[in-house]
Amino acid sequence: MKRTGIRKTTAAVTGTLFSAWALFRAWVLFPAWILFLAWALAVRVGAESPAAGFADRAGVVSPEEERSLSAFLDEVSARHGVDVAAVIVDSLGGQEAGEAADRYYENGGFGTGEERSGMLLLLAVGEGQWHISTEGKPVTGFGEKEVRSAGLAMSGFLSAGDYAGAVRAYAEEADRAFREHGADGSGRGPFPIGRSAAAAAAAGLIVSLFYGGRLKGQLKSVSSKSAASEYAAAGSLKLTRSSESFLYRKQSREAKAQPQRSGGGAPEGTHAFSSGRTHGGGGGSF
Amino acid sequence: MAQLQEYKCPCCGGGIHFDSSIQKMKCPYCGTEFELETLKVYDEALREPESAAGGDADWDMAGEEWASGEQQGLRVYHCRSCGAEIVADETLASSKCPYCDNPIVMMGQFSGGLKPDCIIPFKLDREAAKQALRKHCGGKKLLPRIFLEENHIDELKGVYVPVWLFDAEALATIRYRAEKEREWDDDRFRYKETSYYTVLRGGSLTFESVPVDGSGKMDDALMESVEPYDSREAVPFQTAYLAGYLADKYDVDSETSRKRADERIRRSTEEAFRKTVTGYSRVEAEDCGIRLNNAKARYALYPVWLLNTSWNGGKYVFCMNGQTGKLVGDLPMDKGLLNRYRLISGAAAAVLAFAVSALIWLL
Repeated sequence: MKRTGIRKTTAAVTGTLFSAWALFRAWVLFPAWILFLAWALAVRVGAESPAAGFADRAGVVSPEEERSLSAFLDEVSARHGVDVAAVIVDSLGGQEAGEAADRYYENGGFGTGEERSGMLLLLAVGEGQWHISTEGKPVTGFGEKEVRSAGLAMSGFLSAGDYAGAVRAYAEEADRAFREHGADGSGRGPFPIGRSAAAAAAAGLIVSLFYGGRLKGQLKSVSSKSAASEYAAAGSLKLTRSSESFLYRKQSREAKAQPQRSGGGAPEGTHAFSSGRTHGGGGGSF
Repeated sequence: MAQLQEYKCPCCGGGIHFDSSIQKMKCPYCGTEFELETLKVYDEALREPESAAGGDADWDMAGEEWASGEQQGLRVYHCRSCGAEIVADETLASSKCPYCDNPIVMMGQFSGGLKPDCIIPFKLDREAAKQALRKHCGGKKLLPRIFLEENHIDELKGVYVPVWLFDAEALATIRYRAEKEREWDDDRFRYKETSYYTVLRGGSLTFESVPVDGSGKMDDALMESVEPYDSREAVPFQTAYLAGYLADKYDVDSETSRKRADERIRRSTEEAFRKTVTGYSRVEAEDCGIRLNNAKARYALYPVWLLNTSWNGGKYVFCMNGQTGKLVGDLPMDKGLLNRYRLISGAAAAVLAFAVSALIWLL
């Protein structure tokens, strides 16, 4: 009887312990684990690790090409620490291409860091327009010159209807520009050997001609005199008539180039979106 | 026969000449010096036989007959010291006998209306001229090394060049068109205002002793290059100054020379009056009237040291102002040296420019 009592007690205690552990596991560990996961995810999202992407809303790119382009854009983004994204749409829905690109960028949550640095290419197949929206570092790192370059790189593909090729060309142009001078444009590109050599050669030619001319000039000393100022008697100049009369006046004016101003007073080359954030970039049509 | 005047030393009978370093006549044999005033009387006495002897040239027709035109411009002189016959240009006025080196002066070249009004005696001697020539040739990177070595520097000749000196008063009335500009801007426009004026200047400017070369054999540019001469050091002419130097009489008359003097005087007058118009951004002469008043010409002899040399097929003339020492003369150029210097300087500049651009890029 005593043994049975001890067994019953042990079983009860064990049962209680198991119940307690189950309760603890269910109500403490599991939520803690979930919370930990959520925190980790949030940290990952908030970190400098860029989130990039490609979306084909118009259905003009095959799934394989879509995966390939996503991977490539991810790679470029990770390499330079800014989001490099692209989206292809059927129609702009009555919006301006630039406005639509800015909206996609902001609503898509793109951008890394406090400045929300990144860029997005919007291809509107229906209207035949494209626009690159930039924010943060790429505003200077991917400026007018780079946008023009990207446009030229994409033009052949867009004319042929190869939208995947156009997106790849855009991503390659972004990669090239950021390699040359960094995502914010402050970095130093490779030393322009060709240009420097040409400028140095021109400087050498000018110096050699100038020096040669100077040495030749040392050999010449005979020249006629055009005047006889040395023989003018000192102090003999007498002015007997001296008058100055005003005739007429002419005025002209030239308009100054006015700087482009947007609603938010954004810096030159940028504009303020309706959200108040400043975007750069540019676009074209095809 | 043209009459020659030789200056003999009263002490030893040697030929004396004008010494530029002491500004007196000096005998190179016995070293005796004579004041010019002393020789003035001597000079006057020597002129007396002139009228008796006449001044026409006596052509020596012995031997072959001169062909037609060959005699033109030539005279024959007889040296009184050694009897040598010297055939020379008709304008030659002073020289040395090539046989006995006696200084001789052709008196007929300076008689009557041909007598110079004044002369600037030599202030610098042959040694000074040689040194100046060496200095002129030194430091010239493109001068062929062998040029100075082959240059016959000892053949420097002291020559009195005949010049016409012009004095004139230039009366000028000049009208100018002048502009003043003003610029300013505001937020929207950049403005420019130009005001136009008419400016009048009238007056006079006096010129003294503007020299013009009176010898057709002397390059005008060469004579003008060694200017200026200080005419305040000119003295009344005496033939004694010519002894020991070459001299020519003029063969370009004052009327012909006057045109050159006119050009230079007018140009200087325009420049002098233009300087009186100030305070304008742009001034242009619209109408220029210059008249020369009280113009007169004098005949003078100015000293130069001359060297004529040939090298590598080219002729080179060097001329030094016998009063101030200014020396001019175009020098030959070694093209190989020019190309070498151009190449070296160009390469060095290119390398430096490339290095600087790389350094800027690195920084």
